[in-house]
Amino acid sequence: MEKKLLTKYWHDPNHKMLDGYLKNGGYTAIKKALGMEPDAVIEEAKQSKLRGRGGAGFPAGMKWSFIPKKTDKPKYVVCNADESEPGTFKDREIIHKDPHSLIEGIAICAWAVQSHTAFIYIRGEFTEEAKMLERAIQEAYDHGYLGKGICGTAFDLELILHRGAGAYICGEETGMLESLEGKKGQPRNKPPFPATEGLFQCPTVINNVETLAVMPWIVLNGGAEYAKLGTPDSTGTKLVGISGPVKRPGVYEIEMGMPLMTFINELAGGMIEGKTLGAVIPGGSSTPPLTPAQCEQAKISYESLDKLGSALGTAGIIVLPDDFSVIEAMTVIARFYADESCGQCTPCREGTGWLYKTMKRIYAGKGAAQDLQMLSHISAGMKGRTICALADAAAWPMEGFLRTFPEAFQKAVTPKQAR
Amino acid sequence: MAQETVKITINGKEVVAPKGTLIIEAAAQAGVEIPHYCYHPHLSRPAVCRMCLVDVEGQRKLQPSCSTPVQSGQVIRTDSPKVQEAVREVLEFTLINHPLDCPVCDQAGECGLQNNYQDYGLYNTKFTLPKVHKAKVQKIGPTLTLDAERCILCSRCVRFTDEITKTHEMGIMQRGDHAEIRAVKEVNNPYSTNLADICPVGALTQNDFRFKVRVWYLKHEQSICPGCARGCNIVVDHYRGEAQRMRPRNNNAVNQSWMCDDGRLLYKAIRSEDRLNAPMLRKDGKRLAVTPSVAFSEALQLLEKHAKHTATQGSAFVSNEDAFALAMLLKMMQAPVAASLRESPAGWDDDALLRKADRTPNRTGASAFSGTEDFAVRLKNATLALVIQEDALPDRSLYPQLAGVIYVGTHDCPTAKAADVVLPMAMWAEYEGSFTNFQGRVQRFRPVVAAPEGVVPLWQLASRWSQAFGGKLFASAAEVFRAMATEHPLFAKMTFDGLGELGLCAPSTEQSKEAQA
Ligand SMILES: Cc1cc2nc3c(=O)[nH]c(=O)nc-3n(C[C@H](O)[C@H](O)[C@H](O)COP(=O)(O)O)c2cc1C
Ligand code: SF4
Ligand code: SF4
Ligand code: SF4
Ligand code: FES
Repeated sequence: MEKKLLTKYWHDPNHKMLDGYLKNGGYTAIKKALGMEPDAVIEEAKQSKLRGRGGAGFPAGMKWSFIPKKTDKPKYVVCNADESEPGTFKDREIIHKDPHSLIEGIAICAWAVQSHTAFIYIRGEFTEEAKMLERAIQEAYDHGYLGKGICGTAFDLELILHRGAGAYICGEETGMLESLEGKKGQPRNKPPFPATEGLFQCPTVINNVETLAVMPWIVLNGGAEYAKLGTPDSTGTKLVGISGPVKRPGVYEIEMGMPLMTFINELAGGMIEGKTLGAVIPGGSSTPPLTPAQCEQAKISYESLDKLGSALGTAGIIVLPDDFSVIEAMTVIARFYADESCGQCTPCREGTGWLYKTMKRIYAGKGAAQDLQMLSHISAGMKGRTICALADAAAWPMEGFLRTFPEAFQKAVTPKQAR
Repeated sequence: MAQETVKITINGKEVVAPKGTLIIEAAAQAGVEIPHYCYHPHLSRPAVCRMCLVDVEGQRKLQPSCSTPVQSGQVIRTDSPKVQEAVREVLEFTLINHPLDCPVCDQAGECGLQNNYQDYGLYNTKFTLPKVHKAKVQKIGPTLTLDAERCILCSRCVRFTDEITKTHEMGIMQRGDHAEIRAVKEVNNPYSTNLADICPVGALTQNDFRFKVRVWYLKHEQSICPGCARGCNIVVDHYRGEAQRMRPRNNNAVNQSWMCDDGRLLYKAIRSEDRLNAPMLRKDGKRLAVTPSVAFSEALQLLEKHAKHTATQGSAFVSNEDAFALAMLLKMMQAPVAASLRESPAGWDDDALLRKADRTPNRTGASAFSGTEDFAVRLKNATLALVIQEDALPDRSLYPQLAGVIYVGTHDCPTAKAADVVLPMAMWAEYEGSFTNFQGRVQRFRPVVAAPEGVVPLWQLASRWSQAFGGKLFASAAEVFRAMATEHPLFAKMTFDGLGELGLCAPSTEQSKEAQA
């Protein structure tokens, strides 16, 4: 059922320490990569067709290939460990169980794009995880996997852990760069893209924790081998997190394309006693919900969930029981985005707040029928008009909830005595 | 080197624009206005207000025209239903938390928000929820008042204080719809009032102008600030014959879009208490007001009597035409040329932005018609002193041989008090003329308000006196300018009208050489 590439040794409590990691074959991939031409490493990443695991799904190898080869500027690698999308907790697991895979993946990426300085930007609330990473990084420095001349070669690599201050928007890659530069975390207009003008205006690769942590496997086994797994558009395996009233919530590595219900029923053990499936948010709070009927058709892949009007997102599955309050759930989601909007762009700043206030009013039983049109109107006005995708991420679930649960909304805005 | 250009299409019309031009600028050059709040030509482009979205063929999303450069072959629409809908909706978002207190807002009539919502017919708000409340009427410095509730968070003020003055007083605190503009320290930099100009709404207003006049009553005239050798291009707003405020006017070669705070208040000198409004004669130690013609003739008699023995102090505060007409008069009188110009009053040093330590507006122009000898030296051999504007002879007892002193100026001073004849002259805001700034740029100023009755500019007085010596009587400033342009290389090949709105540099000056290179 599970397909363990990345998670193969996670049962081993020593795997998170350098000793254990080495015993399990760790840091052989970076040695192999260092013996290859950097471009050949990029080629393997391309062949794997691995799509970025931070949510946007951009092909990782292609992203690396955009980094200019001839430049006088330093190049940077930034690992996005800001994991803050509600319902998402896969990167945290990697940091807990397999920090050296991440460090090794970063080193592979740095070699591929010829960067000598890498950063891990870690979510502010991850205090324990920051300590874990700090210790793993120190181990790697102490044993020559980081620092001057890594693995006995002439290649230098510094890796710096940077803690965020607790802002979802610093997970957006350019908001992260601003924050890393010591500024307020506010996304930048693109173009220019980070590949040419990223951190301190220098070429920068930004990848999610999972994207980087799986790189050692790809280098050792070949991109083509990775691409054989999964579906043509969603190659390889995926760490999928599941929360909600299921028997075994947690993070599982599966081959892409697994039916959603198989995942829920077999890996997560199905619904807990007395609970019936009501809806599933498949990929973090910004992905529109699926009805039980849609869940039956859904596969865990980019294309299947797109086709159903939702998205794979971060593959943070939130299972909702049939007695859940649609209005409460949506109010909570709307509140999150209103709280986290950085406030630069007018449609996002005002729209997220407007959605939340309207939802709050409906939740308080003071909504009116025209509020529902207003919710659609606001969402439509926010989409595709802002600097970053947070505005869209706030509008999509709103539209999805309205589309999926029209009766619940109707009922919520109908005066009690009329019901 | 010819600039590379690209061809694009805006609303079906073919437009040629220099490579790298932003769409919003190329559109403006082609006469297509794109609504905008955060964009400002002299500040960085954060593209945050999202008002300027346009449709670029081949792009799925609308693009912010304020931060998207033109590209060859681009097909742009600003008038499609998709764009119109976007602008209307972005505007709606801008308005929901705005207090809409236009009736008591001093910006009303020149407010970017008000103008747009009227254009887009958004009178009835769909927003029925409680608005976010923020701090109102904050005195954030000697010159400005901030109402954070009216702020639309365009960040122009933040960028101005970060990028232009580098004083960093303004900042946006919090996030989401609680984001709030704040002064993080007292705003007292020498250019603070520009914030009131660039704020598109009534969030930042200038203390000097608040609640003075509703802006729709104001009339406007283009002028030049007389406050220093920079010669910032300005507009003077006036109402019922009185100047009400000064605002900068864009001139990239001189002041971009800015002016300094001290310059901005100079309109007050037009009606100040010590203004000389009427001619005076000094008889038995007392000053008597007389008619202009009496004063004029008294002065003329003195000039005729002492002609060759007249020592003249010119001024860097008068126009090119004034200085030239004065030089012509002295020539006809066969008097020595005017003494060297006096030093600028002290006050400030050159700074990195606009202000010049030389606080006279026309040293470059006036020195073209002055000599190099000091007035004090000239006075030793003179029997008549002719003093223009400067307080150059406060103690005439030092020169017992002087039989007379004529003072022509705008404000009273010890020299004027000791003069035998005092002739008031018009101030920069009361006549037309030109100043030559420190770069050698000759710039026109225009009459804004009427001079006190019977008061004329220096060039007219000088030219009329000069007529008595057989000189030419000039009928207009343009005519003086024409004569001046043939006489002096600083004005070579220029005409008064040819100065246009932005002025001209003579071919010999540095700036003009740079421009040609
Ligand atoms: C509002 C917002 C929040 C985001 N948060 C995260 C995050 O916490 N972690 C992450 O890896 N990517 C996040 N992203 C996506 C990143 O911008 C970026 O696409 C990603 O880090 C690139 O890595 P990948 O290609 O490996 O996925 C976020 C995007 C947006 C718009
Ligand atoms: S869309 Fe929202 S979060 Fe993103 S930059 Fe704009 S205001 Fe900030
Ligand atoms: S105070 Fe004015 S200039 Fe400053 S951000 Fe607000 S609206 Fe813009
Ligand atoms: S810099 Fe000089 S010319 Fe410009 S506004 Fe100030 S005083 Fe006037
Ligand atoms: S003017 Fe372009 S986004 Fe504000």
